[in-house]
Amino acid sequence: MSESALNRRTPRTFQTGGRTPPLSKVSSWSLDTSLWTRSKNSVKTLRGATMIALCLVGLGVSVASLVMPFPPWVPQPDKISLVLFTSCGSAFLLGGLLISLWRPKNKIGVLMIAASFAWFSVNLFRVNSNLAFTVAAFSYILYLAIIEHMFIVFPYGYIRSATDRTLVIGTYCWCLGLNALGMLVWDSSHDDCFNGGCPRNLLGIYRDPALNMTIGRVLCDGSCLLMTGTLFLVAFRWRQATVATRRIMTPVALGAIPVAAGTLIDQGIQYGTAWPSDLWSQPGQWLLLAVPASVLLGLLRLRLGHAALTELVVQLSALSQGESLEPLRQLLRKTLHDPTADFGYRYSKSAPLLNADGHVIDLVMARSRQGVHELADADGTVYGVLLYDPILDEDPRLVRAVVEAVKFTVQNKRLEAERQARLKEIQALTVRMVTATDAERRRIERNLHDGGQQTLLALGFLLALCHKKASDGDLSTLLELLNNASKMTRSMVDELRDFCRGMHPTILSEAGLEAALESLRQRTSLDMSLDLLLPERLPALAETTAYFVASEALANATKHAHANVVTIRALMEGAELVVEIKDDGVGGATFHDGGGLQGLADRVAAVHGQFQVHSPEGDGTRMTVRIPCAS
Amino acid sequence: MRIIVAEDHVFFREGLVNVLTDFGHDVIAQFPDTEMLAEQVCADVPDLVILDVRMPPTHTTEGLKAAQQIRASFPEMGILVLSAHVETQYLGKLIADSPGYIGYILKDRVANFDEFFRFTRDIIEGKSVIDQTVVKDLLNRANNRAALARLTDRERKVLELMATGRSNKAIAGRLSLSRRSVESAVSDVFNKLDLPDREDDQRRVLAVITYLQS
Repeated sequence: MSESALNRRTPRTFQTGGRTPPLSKVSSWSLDTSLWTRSKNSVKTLRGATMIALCLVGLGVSVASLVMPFPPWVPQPDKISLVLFTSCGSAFLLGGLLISLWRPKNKIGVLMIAASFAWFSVNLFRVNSNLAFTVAAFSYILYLAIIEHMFIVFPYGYIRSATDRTLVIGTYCWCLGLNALGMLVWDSSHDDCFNGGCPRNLLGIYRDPALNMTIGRVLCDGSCLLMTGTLFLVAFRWRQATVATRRIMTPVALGAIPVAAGTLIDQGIQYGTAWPSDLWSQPGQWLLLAVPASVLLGLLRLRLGHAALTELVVQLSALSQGESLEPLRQLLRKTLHDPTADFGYRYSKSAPLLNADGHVIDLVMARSRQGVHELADADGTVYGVLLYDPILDEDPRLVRAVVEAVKFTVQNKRLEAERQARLKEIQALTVRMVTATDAERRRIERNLHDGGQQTLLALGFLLALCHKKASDGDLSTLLELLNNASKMTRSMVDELRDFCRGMHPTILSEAGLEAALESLRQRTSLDMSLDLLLPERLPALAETTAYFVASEALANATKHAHANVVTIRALMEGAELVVEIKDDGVGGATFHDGGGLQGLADRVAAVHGQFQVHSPEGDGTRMTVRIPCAS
Repeated sequence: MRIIVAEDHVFFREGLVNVLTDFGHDVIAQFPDTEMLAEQVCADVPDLVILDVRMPPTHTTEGLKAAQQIRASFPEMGILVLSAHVETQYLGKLIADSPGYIGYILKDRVANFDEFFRFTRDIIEGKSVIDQTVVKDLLNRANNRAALARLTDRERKVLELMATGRSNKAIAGRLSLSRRSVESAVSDVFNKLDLPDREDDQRRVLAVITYLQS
């Protein structure tokens, strides 16, 4: 009871965990797993025992109904009527038990069982006991009230509005109250017993046959009126219901017609009799069989969704990789028999939830009208949402199963898309890296070719010329040529040194990032300030990357940005090296393939770092690099 | 000799000009690129243009392009292309686009003054000069290896020297052979390689180089 109440009160939204939902969440809805708590188990055991006991009692009551002798104060019904009477009560009991078995949370099962016992309570008239006779006289009408109760609360099983509550309570009061009132003025031992000699009505305190008769008539009229009213109420409810609800309600709405008819017939026959003595052979009673049949059928239709679930899983796995959500939505609508079912998907973290039509799904609004089930990542980010008719929550297992199936597919597809995107990114990065390496090799080749090799060639024939001059004895020219030669040599040494530093500064590997940046500062023509708070040494890859970014940024500031002042800040944030380079140049730096910025970004990406550039036109450039340093 | 030099590397250019001047030649203009070269050649026609293959702005084949351009307007002019690399592709371009005199030597040759000035003389006289190293490279990577394998050592050497632009007389001198032996070796080479024999040294170079490049 507490569990069903809880279930009722919880909003129809429960977040599903990411790739691995917590165990408790799984077990909380899969009733068949043994992962549930002990109290749950004992509840189940108790329920099972109750069921068996009810079965046995029901069997006993039915057998008794067939074989118990009829005393002289009630008319002996024919065999067919008696069998029909017993079948009707048994059908209620059986239906109630089945519903309780399938849908333990739905109170309709309990109501049906109660109706069955109320029905069989008529048999107490056959017991020669004042108390039994009184109870039978009081409760024989109760089944009508319970049937009406059932129609009113179908298919939820609980009272959902104040009107419903008034109706239900009113019905019980009407039937039981009026009946009790009639009993007060009825002395069964004197009045209108079939053959006389019947037990005494214990409630009778005053004998007034005329008043008793009037009350009986009002009771009959009222019962017919109530039943007809309920028929209209059910019809009205059906009209108002959503498609998914109608699916369940249709059998019941149709079933209410014969029930009302049966009631009219039976009550019409009893009309005007002092007490309903011939209750076993009422001609309309077989029409009441429509109650258990229609209720069972209605709830069964909801249950049939499970069969479609298998189909859903098969179809989901066949769903194409395309971006469109339409096939998924159609599949959901088909499986859930709910044309309002919808699926929203968030294509990126900051994007809104969109459905197949591209409409934004407003969760607040959706929750007020529909069943909502969110699909969330491990970090709680909702990436998808399933919307459905709240009636489907009557079968939470169906909804959960659909959600799990959809989640599985969607997650699979998301992972696949993510993997593809990542792969593309890596492929592009690889291409850019290879291209960059290639360009670097060309740069080195040209540098060596244009610098070293040419100078050496020139030096070669300069020396040949010296040789000639020496043999000619032209000493003054020789001296001049030798001067040239040593000048060339010095220049070449300088060139090579610069070149090597450009490749990888020795100071970086020998003395670390701080010293290397300091050396960069000493050599630049710009006004450069350093604000460093670094450990002595960092992983070599982090140092090289940071230095490379700083020196490239400095080169950009000098060559392209025409900056005057450059500030470099470097510090550790946790296990991350953060370097920020700011200049007061012209800004407007952009990424393009083969460009310096792209090269830097790639280089940082290669060490799993982050690279940000803020370079508004005319307002300087700020680069921020974050390089993970966990070794 | 009136010479124009186009070379981007300042030390090399100055050194070259130094050497040329020292040997009594008149360097009438020098350029660090090919931009003004054609204009200058038209304005004051020199005897010889010496240019580097790789020059600004792209440092690829600016020199070759300029050489072809000048060759188109002045088919008879001596043009000497200097290359820092042993690159047979350049040679192919030079031949394919403007058949005529070819002067293509490695920069290393400049330091050997005797050889260098012999080359310049040959070029002005209308002979082709192709660097020996380049020819060797061409022979090594030739596609017609099977045909080349049928040559004797002597024939191979003769082919090599033919390709560098030497006359029969020069080849004979170089290999210490009689003119007749050289002539017969040359005709053997042409037979074995299935090439039409050419009297003219100049045409012969082109035929051989084209063959080796094919």
